[in-house]
Amino acid sequence: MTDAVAIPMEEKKKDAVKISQSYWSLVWWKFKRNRLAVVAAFILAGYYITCLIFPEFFAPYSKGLESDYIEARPTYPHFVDAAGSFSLRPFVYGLDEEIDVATRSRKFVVNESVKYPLYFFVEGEPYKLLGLIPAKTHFFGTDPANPDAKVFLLGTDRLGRDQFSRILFGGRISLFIGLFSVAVFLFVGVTLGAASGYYGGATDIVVMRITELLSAFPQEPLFLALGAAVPVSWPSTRVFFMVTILLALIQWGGLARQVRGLVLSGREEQYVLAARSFGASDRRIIFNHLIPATMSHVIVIATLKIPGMILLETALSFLGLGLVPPTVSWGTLLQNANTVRSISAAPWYLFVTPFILFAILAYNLLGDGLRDAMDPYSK
Amino acid sequence: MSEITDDVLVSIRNLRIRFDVRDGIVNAVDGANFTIRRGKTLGVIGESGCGKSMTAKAIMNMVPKPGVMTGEVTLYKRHVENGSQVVEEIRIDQLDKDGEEIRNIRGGVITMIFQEPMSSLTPVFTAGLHIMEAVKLHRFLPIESIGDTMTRNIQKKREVSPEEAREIAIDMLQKVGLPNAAQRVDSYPHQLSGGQRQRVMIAIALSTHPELLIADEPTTALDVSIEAQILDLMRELQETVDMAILFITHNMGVIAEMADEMVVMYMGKEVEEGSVVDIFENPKHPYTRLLLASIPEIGEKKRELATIKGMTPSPFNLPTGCVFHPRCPDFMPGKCDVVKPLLATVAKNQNARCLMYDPCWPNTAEAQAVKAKA
Repeated sequence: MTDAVAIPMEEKKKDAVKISQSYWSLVWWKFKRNRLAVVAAFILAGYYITCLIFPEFFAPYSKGLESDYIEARPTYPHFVDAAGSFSLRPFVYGLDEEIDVATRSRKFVVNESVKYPLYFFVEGEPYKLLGLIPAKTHFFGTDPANPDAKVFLLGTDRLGRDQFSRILFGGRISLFIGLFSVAVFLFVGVTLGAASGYYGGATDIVVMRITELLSAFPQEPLFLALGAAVPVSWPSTRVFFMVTILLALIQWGGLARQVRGLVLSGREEQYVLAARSFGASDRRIIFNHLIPATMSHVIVIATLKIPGMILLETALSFLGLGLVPPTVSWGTLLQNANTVRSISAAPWYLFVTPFILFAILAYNLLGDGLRDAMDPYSK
Repeated sequence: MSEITDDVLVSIRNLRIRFDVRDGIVNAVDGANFTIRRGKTLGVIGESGCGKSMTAKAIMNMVPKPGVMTGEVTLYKRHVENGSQVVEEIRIDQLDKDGEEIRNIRGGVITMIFQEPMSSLTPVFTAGLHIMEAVKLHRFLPIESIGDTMTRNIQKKREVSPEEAREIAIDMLQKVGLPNAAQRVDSYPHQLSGGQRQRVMIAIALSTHPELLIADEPTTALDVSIEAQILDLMRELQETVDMAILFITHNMGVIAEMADEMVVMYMGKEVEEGSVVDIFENPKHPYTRLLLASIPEIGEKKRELATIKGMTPSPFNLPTGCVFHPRCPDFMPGKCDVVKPLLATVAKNQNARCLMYDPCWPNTAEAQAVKAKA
């Protein structure tokens, strides 16, 4: 008898849960169904964990460690050696320096007689995790007891620094720029857009004319001019923040216009009148009642804007107008590949591009997924 | 009704609201005078566009731009000081529109519920959050008396904590008869039906213990059965919390059910005022009479519904004299289209704005005949 009663009760409970589905849980449901977007989200999570938070741990070397291997070719991990014997532990071959007599250039060739096994969680250069916790363990590396053993997954650069490690460290700056400049972008765009839409009149005119002015400028020359205006003598952190803020300040116009439009229609709604009739101040109405209603829109714009910011930073730095060495970012790493000579002699400089590519793709897919999930009118 | 007595809560004197728009000047409210008494319900009735809602907004000093408000709106705020009641006079029309003081009155002393419950709730807030916001802004709990100064008994007050606000929210939702209040408190507006939303609106409005509730056609968007429930609910709640209601509607039936006193408005002016019983039994102004006559009676098969002929005049081009004269069955040529009538006492506690009752009216046989007809 108890069973017979229990089942309908269970069902009833389920119904109750169904009724109180909030908007965000509906968004989550829809988002989960979009496989591509979920994969993209995982890729991005991977990026942020390896590059932004723990690059010291995941990179075998620090970003500034100069080895004797100048522009050495990548040493790929192997499981099967030249003799055909299989080992479960991956290893890399050693590199021998060779002078090409004809071109009088130095070259590194794989020496298949020397094998350096790779280990996980090896002791290496000391570093501070998150800038706080002193640690020595690296995710992978060669035997710390053997100083000759080196692993350069993606080759080295002109100063003998490990390219793979530098890409991870460069990702920290580039990914952070994406987030930080979008945060500034959101703050400026949403605040000014909302103020413009809510107050109208003179505020609206001033804000909108500024956005028009900004959008009327050809973007690239403007970036070049502003990038060139950043003094060379500045320390790299200040340049970094300057570049981030620049990226945001030039781009907020589009967002401000969209938020203005949404707020403009929102402020005529009766709930705004109702909120006012309950004594809510303008600030409360804007920030608590109007801006949250624009959030689904804004989040999507932001997600789609982050890759744009990353690309812009990369492009600017590649041209030498954004970040400059010794700051390591994907843009400054790409600077190495700005001549035909370096590409023909050390094509591994181009290994930065797939990293950028996948980050950008993942963001775009995530943004698309979010847009589909958040649009209440989509199926 | 003009004398200020102890039970007056809000008095409106000579209120005019003018809109300067491209096509000319619109007087949305054109010299309204009435009084809202404590604990009583005042019904305001009139056709669309006669200035009912604008008057309500004027009471909260919320006349939208580019409207200009003149006249006096006085709030007699009562609070207990040192054991005795003190009435503080606040000229609402003179307060800064976005100032601290008016914001404390809005929601704290005067609250409002709107015509369309569908759009009056912020879609991103749950029902509970709405109430909690109002409570957090306007309700303070006394902690202890911390002493007396000259005349004031000073009570330390504190804001309501979030947990208490939530409890109040659930309690209010229960009071307005929302089933499953503890669950419904987390429902978003789109998960509630129209009647439920209006209940939530009422819950918000009452959660701060206001002295005046302005109900701007609260049941117009609801179907009749829900309307009856909501009206019952408002009456019940009014009995328990001693608050005045300004009830705006265009439904005579609702006024009869809800109000103690009523004001009939036409083109921004009140044309008749008095107690509901008096006006329903003995309407004096021709407009009121026509309004009452146009209510269809149940169980009576009529050839045609009674209507008031003509349309409300364009606000840009008002008729001369009495604004109602082109539609008036008792139109007296040469008089009504020339002289603007004043509000005149026609019976005990009943005033009407019509030349028929104007004391200055020449005592001619013609006038007598018209009066006799009335």
